[in-house]
Amino acid sequence: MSFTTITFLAWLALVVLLYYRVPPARRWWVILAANIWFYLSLDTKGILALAAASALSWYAALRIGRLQTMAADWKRAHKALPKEERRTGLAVYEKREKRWVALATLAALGVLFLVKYYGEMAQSLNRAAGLSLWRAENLLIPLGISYYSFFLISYVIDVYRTVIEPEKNVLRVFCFAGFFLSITQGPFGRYGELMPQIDESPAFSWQRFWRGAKRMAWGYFMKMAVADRAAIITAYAFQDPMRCTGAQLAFAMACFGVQLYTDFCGYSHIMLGAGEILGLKLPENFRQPFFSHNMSEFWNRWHITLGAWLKDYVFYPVLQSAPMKALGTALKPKLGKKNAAQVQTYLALLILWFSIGLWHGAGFNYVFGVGLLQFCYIASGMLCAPLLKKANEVLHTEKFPLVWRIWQGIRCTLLMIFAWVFFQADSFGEALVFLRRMLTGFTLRDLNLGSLTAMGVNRMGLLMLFYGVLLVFLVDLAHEKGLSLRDSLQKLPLLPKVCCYQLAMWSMVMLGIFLSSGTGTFLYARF
Amino acid sequence: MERSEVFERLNQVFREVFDDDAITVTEETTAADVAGWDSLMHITLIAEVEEEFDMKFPMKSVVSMKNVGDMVDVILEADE
Repeated sequence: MSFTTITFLAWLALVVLLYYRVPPARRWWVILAANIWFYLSLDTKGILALAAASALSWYAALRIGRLQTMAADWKRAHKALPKEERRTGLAVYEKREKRWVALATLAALGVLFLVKYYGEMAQSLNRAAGLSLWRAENLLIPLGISYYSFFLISYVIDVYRTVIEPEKNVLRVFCFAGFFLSITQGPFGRYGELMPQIDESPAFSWQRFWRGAKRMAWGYFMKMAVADRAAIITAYAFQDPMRCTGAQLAFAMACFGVQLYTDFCGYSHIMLGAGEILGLKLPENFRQPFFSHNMSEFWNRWHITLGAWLKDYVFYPVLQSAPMKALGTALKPKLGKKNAAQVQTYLALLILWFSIGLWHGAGFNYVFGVGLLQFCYIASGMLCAPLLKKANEVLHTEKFPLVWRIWQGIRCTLLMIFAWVFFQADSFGEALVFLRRMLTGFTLRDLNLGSLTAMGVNRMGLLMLFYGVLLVFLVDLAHEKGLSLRDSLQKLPLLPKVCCYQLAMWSMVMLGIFLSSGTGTFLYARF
Repeated sequence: MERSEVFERLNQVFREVFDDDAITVTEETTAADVAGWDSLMHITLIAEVEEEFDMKFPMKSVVSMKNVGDMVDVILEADE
C-alpha cells in the first residue's frame, strides 16, 4: 500500500475513525493493528523478523530493568560502605546490564549486516580473492529493517540509561518498532516520546485534523508535483550519462538534489501531518536545509532524527568510551589538552560519518558520498574556521549580509548536489563516469531549452517543475522567517481562504504526476 | 560539597573550555547562552568537568541535560 494512493488515504481515514472511537489508553491497540495491516500490505514474510527483533529487545530490556532494581536494592542495603566499595559493588550489576545491551545491539546489527551488507561484501571478496563464500542471495530484506533495528537499539539503551522503564508488554514494543508512520523511512522516534503520546492522545479535533491534512497535502505536492517530475530527468541522465552533454548532466545533478529533498521532505510532511491528525507530535526531520550557513549546520537541518540518533547512540558513547579516553590521556602530554580533545573529536566524527555512509548502503558510493566526503566537508570547515573568519573580515561581508547569506546557501547546495551524485549512481565508478562526463563535456551553449527537453520532460513539464521548485523555495523561506503558513491561512477571511484552497487544489491536480506516469515509490524506502 | 562551590569550580572550567574569562554560569544557563557550546564542544566540556570533579556523567545525563543546573545536580549526586 503506497503512501501516494487513494487506498492509503481511505485506509488512514478508517484508522483515524477507529482510533478516536476507543479510549486513549487502548489506542495503541488500534495503532498495533494498523501497523500489522500496513506491514503485511508491503511485506508478508518480514513481519516475523520484526516480531522476533521486538521480542528479543523487549526481553533484554526486562532483564536490564531487573538488574537495575537489584542494584538499587544493593545500594540501599550498603549505604554505610565507603564510596569506592559501593562503586565496586555496583559495577558488577553494571557489567551484567551492559552484557544485555551488547546482546540486543549485536543481534539487531548482526541481522541487519547479514541481510543488507553481507551479500555485497561476500561478492566483492569472491571476485577480488577468488573465494566461494556464501552470498546470501536468497535472503529477503525485511521491510524497514534499517529503521526498526535502530528503533529497538534505542529502546534497549534508553532502558539501560534509565531514561524509560522497561515495558512489560511485548506487544507495545512491537507497536513502537513497527509504527506505520515511521517504519519505511523514519523519522527515528524514541519509545519514551511516542508511546506516552499515544496513551495520552487528546480527543478528536477538526482544527488539528485540518492542520494535519494541510501538511499532508503540501507533502503530496512536494512528492508528486516536484519530486516525481524531477525524477524523470535524473533517471534519464543516470541511466546512461554518456548519451548526455555535460550541461544536461549538470542540470540532472541539480534535479536530483531537488528530487531527493522534495521526495524525502515530502514524505516527512505526509507522515507528520498524519501524526498530527492522530494527535501525535512526531519529530521533525527537516528544517529548511538549503538555508544553512555551513555544512555542519546543513546536517543539523537535514535528516535531523538520524543525526540525533547517531549523536546520542554512537558519537557521544564513542567519545566517552575507555579507548577514546585512553587516547586522550596519551595525547595530552604531547599535544596539549585542547589539541588532544580536537583529535578525539575528529576521530569520533570520522567514525560517525563512516557509520552514516554505511547505514545508507554497503556500496563505497554511499560510504563516500554521504559519509567520508561529508566528514571532509565538516572537518575542513572546522579546521579552516579561523581562516574563514579572517577572510570575512578582509572582505567586509558584514556590509552585504544578504549577498553573503545567499552565497552561503548556494555553497552548501553545490557541495551537497555534488556529493549526491555518489548517492544516486549505482556504484562509485558510475558516479565518477557521470562527473567526468559532466565536467569535461560541459559547454554553456548546450544549456538550452532544446537539450533540457530531450531528457524526458517537455516544455510544459519543465515549466511546471520550475514553478514547483519556486513554490517549495518560497514556502521554505516563509518557514525560515518563522511564519506558519497553515496558521496564516487559517486567519484569512473566508473569500481569500477559499481562493487559496482552490488554487492549491488546482495546482495539485494540474502539476501532480499520478501513479499512471510517476514513480509512486519514495527514495528513502530503499534503505 | 556545596552547590555554590560547584558553581565556582564550573565557572573556571567553562572559562577554560570556551576561552572566555567573562563566562559566569547559573542554574538556567543553557548551550544557547554560551558562544561555541555546540554538540561537539559539549562532550569536551563534559570530559573537563568529569576531570575537575573526579566523577563520571552517566550517558543519560550527557544526552538529556537541559541546563547547568541539571549538570550540578548530577555532580552533587555523584559526590554522595
